[in-house]
Amino acid sequence: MSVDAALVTRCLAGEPDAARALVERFQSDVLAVCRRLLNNQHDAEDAAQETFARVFRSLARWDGTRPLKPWVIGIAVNRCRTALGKRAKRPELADYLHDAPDTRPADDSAETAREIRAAVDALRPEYREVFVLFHEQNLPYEEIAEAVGRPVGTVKTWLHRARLEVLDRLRARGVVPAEPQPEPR
Amino acid sequence: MSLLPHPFDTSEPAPPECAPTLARVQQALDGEPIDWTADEHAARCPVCRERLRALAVLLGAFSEPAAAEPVPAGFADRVLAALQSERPAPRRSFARYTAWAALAAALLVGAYFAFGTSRPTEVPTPPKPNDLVKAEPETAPAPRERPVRVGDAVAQAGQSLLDAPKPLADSVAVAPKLFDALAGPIAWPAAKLMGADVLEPARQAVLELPTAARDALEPVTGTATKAYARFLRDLGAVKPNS
Repeated sequence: MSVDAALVTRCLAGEPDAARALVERFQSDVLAVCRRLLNNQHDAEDAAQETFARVFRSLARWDGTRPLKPWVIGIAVNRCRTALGKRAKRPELADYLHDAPDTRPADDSAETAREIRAAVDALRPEYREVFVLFHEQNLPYEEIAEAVGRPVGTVKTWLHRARLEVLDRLRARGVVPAEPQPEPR
Repeated sequence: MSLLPHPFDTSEPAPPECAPTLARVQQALDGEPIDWTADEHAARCPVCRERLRALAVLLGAFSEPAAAEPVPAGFADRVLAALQSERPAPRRSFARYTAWAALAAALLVGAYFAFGTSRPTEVPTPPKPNDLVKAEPETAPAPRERPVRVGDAVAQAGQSLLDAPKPLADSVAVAPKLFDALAGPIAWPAAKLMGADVLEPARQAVLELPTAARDALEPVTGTATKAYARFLRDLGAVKPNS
């Protein structure tokens, strides 16, 4: 029995420490996905909390022969989709109310990271999901397919298109360094 | 002025000659090592060269391992507390379902007594042709609440009279005998005027009445007995079979 399966078995048996162990095992990944897909700390925590509520509610239906992480991440992605749907229906707050001030140093690498993030955020939702899950959460194609509920081929197609869009947006934003000119003779 | 295509215009596929380079870009982003010196197209195509420089930026950003996402203090505690507060939910649900089931049962019982024991007032509508075709054979009508009928009431009253003390029952027994006497071979002057069978229908009618109904006529027949007795007395000499 895998570590995940043993943990789930303990949770289903009602062991008090098992639920905490499961939350602590996945909370960082779940919060990271929620933050990246929602771009709002408060919404991300709400979505992460709802994710774990759903996880425990559906734990008996988890297929023990499959990895647990993509299943949990898939629930988080679904919660984020729902949150984004609700957000689209409510009046938009001013941008400065959304995020805490960025305290990171304003060096080149931070600037590049912000540009990449802006390029990823501009992607359509399904492209952004697979891009974040692959490049930021380092999930393999198979687990991303599991998480988003799509075939691996579809995930690859979405990811390839997402990458090209990001590359082109980086070019358009001037993040790409100028092509070195040949030395004048 | 740049001759490069619009950076966000992804609706048009890349030119076929760019496809091998774009495939290598994807492989590089999948983590595979790529020897770019072998890509002759990238050396010629300015768009692909720019893509490769953007790729380098992207790979540089992704090369650094992502720092573990900071978890807010007490996050797990809040999740577990929320789960604890959710636990009574099944009981609330059970109570809610029980209430709904009880309400449904009450409605069913109410509907049974409201509509099951008496027919609702229906507005007669002309039958449709399909209804005539689909009409099933008439079955026994449902029992209906019977209206108050005079005959039944009289029968009930008669039964009460039968259950009454003996003198009343005796007087009731007089009635058929009276009519028998009147319709029988009575030789009295009036019989010639009225005919011998003039009282026969009345006698038969009384005899054919149910016992209870006949008994209910006791006050009438008692009065008739007295009247006829007085009539016979007044006639004086007239006696049966005389």
